[in-house]
Amino acid sequence: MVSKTEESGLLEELRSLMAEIFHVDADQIGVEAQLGELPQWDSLTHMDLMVALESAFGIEITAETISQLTSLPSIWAYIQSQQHA
Amino acid sequence: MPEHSFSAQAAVPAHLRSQVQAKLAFVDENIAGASISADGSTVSLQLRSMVPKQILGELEAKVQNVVTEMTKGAVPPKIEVLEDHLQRSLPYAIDPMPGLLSSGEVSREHTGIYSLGANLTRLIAVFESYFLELATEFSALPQRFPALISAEKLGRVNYFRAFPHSLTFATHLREDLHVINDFAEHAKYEIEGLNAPPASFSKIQALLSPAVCYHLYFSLADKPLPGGQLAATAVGHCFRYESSNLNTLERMWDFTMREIIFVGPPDFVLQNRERARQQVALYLERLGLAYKVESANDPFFVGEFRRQAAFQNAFQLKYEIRASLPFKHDTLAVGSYNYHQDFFGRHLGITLPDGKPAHTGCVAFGLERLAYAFVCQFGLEPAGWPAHVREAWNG
Repeated sequence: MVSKTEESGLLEELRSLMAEIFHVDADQIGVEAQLGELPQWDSLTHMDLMVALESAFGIEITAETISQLTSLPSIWAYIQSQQHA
Repeated sequence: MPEHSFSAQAAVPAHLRSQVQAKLAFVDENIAGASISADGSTVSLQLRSMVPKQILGELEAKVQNVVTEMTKGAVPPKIEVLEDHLQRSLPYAIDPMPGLLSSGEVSREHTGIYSLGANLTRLIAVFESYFLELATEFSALPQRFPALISAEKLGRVNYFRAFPHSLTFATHLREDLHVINDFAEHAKYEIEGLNAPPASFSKIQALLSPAVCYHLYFSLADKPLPGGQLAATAVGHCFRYESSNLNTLERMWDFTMREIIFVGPPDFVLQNRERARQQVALYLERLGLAYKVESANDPFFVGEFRRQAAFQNAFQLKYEIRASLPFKHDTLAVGSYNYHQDFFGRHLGITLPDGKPAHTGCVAFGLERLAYAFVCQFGLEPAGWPAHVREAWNG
């Protein structure tokens, strides 16, 4: 069972990581942020983000997954599913 | 030719072998060719001449950097095969180049620069008449684009970062009487090129165009897309320098592409790209061409390769039509179906009626390569070609 505190901690951790990759302030990363909607989240930074996610959260991201993790909610859900698999 | 082999610091996975190998040609001018062993563990370099040990060490370090940069953390691609007709029976399996050269049907002007004779020119016209018919089905507006392309515009779409190795620059003598007179008096071709001092030449404002569709996107830049969507078609020369990878009609420095280009909302671009693929499949079946269509990536340079290629693959942005070359048991890309998402729309400010950036895509055919693959499969004599091709070829 994942507590609300853990969920919100993960969300903040994710926003902070994305802010670092996209070179923006974390408060510019909305909770519904998507590839292409945020100007700094493009094809290049998307791949940087995938690599950073692997090392920060110890998860594996495959070629199939890369095209699914295109929004903050989908990334958040994927990390949760991997960590609690 | 001297050869130097050594162990790769990082083994090159099979799916990257040909792409890493191709990039090694650009590592150093001493390299005339490179190959990577089947297990990816050994790199062999063919050198233009003997080089001192120290230089060899530096060269090896540069090669190791490229290998590591292109392979570290590479995500194995998901190869999606949309069509596979490689097993079609073919009447010919001989290397056509010796015959094409000896008959004068192909004439080599310089490395990567070839002229074609009447037979191949008429064969390309047969393919072109089909592509024009196809373009009409999409109400694609005909366009004419220049061979030169703006350096400023190419910079806007990050081309220099993605494909610096294959650029071909256009320049001219500086507007300076002394420079022009000096050139007129002393210019001559020496072993490796013109002997004019580099300072004689202007700064680069234009390049020879590497692709056809870019011109359309540039013409639509910084304004709303008229009508919210459009299809266009054009044929044009494309220039991609490939160093020692330049090879017969398979890999030319100067080649021609016919493109059908779509600009608009994502559904418009993707649906038309798919519809075009299905139409082309019917045509290739009529031709009897042995080929497959599978996912692919563009030949990005080392620094961008890993990220860009993985992104293209993950989002299935590019599919290549790969025709069989029976004489070498290999395939050659003769066309591609491309989707760029909103890359050009965003970078060039091409907007849809809702204010969002336009999406783009294109269907592209390499005309010389298609003709080459065709004669590889059906021979040089029209008598051996499918009847409807021969009839169209006869006019």
